[in-house]
Amino acid sequence: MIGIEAIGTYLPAGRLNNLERASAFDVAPEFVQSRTGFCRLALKAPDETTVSMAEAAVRDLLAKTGMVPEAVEALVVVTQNPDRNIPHVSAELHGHLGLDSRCACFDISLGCSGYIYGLSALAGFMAANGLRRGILVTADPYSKVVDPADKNTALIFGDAATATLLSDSPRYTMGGFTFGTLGKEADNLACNDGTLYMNGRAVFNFAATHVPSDIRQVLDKNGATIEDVDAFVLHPGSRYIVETIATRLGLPQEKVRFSSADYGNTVSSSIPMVLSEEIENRAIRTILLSGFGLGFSWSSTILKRREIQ
Amino acid sequence: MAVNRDNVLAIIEQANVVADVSKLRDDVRLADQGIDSLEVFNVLLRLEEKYGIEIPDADVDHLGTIMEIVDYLNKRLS
Repeated sequence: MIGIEAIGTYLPAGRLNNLERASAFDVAPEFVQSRTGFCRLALKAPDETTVSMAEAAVRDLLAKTGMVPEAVEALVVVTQNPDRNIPHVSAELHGHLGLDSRCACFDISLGCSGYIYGLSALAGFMAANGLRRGILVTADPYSKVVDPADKNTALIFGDAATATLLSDSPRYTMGGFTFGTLGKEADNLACNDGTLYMNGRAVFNFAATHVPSDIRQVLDKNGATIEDVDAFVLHPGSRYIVETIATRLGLPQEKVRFSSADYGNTVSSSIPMVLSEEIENRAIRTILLSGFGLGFSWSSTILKRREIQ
Repeated sequence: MAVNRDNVLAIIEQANVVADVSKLRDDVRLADQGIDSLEVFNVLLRLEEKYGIEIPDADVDHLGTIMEIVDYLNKRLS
């Protein structure tokens, strides 16, 4: 059974202070705190790249687990902001890390749903090919495409990278997945001529209507109820979106996570950033993950802590 | 049946965006009565769901007050 063994993370040291920046956008600091929820945004240094951030996250993972690079049999990178279009980021990262030449590498082009899709894709790939250790990387620095003067996006997105070790000795196993796409709405959150555009109302409507029904579906698919879940890790598009989904589903407030106030919405890294903290808590045995965003794309699954004999 | 202000107030109450809907004034923009842009999205979505209509972005600028919303819904639903 392939599942999650450990998660490494990388947050750049740079920060943008949204409470100070808010007035420039005619926004009250209280709105930043209670609505978007992102008081500060992580910002990569100019000389940091998608590959360098990804490498830092993998090195954090290797340090946490004691695993040697030669043991990695598959490496998958989720990103839509590579440093260049060709070659794939995972191949460059493979070279930086000095991985074995038999290690499989490929990229996945997805945004906020990318981590959940990536878990399913890599676990399925590993199971189909008899692989024991694979790493799923997320690295999508949106500071490359956000217009700092755009009120709709400049106070939302932060830079981060994560690396998740999938192995046959997992701490958490993965249950059934749900997936979905609403491609006719894709233009509402898109990068046009190198600059991100977001229709905030369309994103809100999508999240408030499609995600609650998807979460009900993934609970049904896994024979679980809201009461069975210890923690709901929903993609933090904003604090208000998370709260709206939670309200519509009647989720207990104490089970719903929002811990990205210090670094922002880090796209495909947002869920593993939170998950890296949750999996250290042994009391958290069942976790529901739900990623949703550009595309409009979504995916959910349920993790269960494995009983170690 | 025509939509009235109480119907709209009931939706605003469901959206849980103000402490006391009875204190809202009909002719003052919701934005000037403490309802922020994300909360307006929430109210509009609940109106769409309640009345089975889609409110285009182009119409939203004309839906600032409770009475504007009442008039708009009655035109759309007639």
